[in-house]
Amino acid sequence: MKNLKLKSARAAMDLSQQELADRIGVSRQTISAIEKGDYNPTINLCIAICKCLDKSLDELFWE
Amino acid sequence: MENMYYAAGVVAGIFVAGIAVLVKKFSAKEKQQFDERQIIARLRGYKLGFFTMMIFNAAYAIYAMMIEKPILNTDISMILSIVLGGLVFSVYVIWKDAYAELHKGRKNFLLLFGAVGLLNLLSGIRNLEDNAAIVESGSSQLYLLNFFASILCGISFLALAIKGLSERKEEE
Repeated sequence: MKNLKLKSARAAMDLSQQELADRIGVSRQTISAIEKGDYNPTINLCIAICKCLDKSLDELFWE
Repeated sequence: MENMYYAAGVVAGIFVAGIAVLVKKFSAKEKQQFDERQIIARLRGYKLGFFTMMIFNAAYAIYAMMIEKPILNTDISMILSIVLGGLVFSVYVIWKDAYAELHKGRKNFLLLFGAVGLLNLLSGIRNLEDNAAIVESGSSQLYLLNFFASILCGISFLALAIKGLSERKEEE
């Protein structure tokens, strides 16, 4: 299932997939796969994304 | 006798390539860096490559038992199984964007695969022109290796190029 919350949070901070990926130390394709719902990130990566986007785990990853 | 020299050349080539890879690995300032998704994809790729190799070897064993003098001899089939395993690994990992490390483009790999594939193809064609038999008295010869290597590199090159193009579209 697509993670539209992540996509909109990233867009709200005016970050491209590449910029977000660079900030948390993963590849752009990994961010793209998470947004498309093709990859389930580990909790560590979820936390890193949340910290970078200034959101909570619930806001981005809880359905 | 010529075949022996060829085999010695292949072994020397593999040895030199192995040393070059080890030197590069130990002299690299930064450790190879892949993210968690890439590591999982690479592990799946290794598993797929390994099973491909095992299945090919099992199929070859059955084939060799059924036929008195198989056209594909044991040495060549062993190498072919490794090439097939490597091919499955590289195509899978390229398709999952896990071939190149973080912040490293695919241009270098494209150049490498293109150059090595082309050199092997030219070398194979030259062997044919020199009348080196690919199949002699019903059994395959080591000269086939150049074609195996060129096919391996050629398919990896194509996979990288197609993936690169599809990604460019996605980014647009």
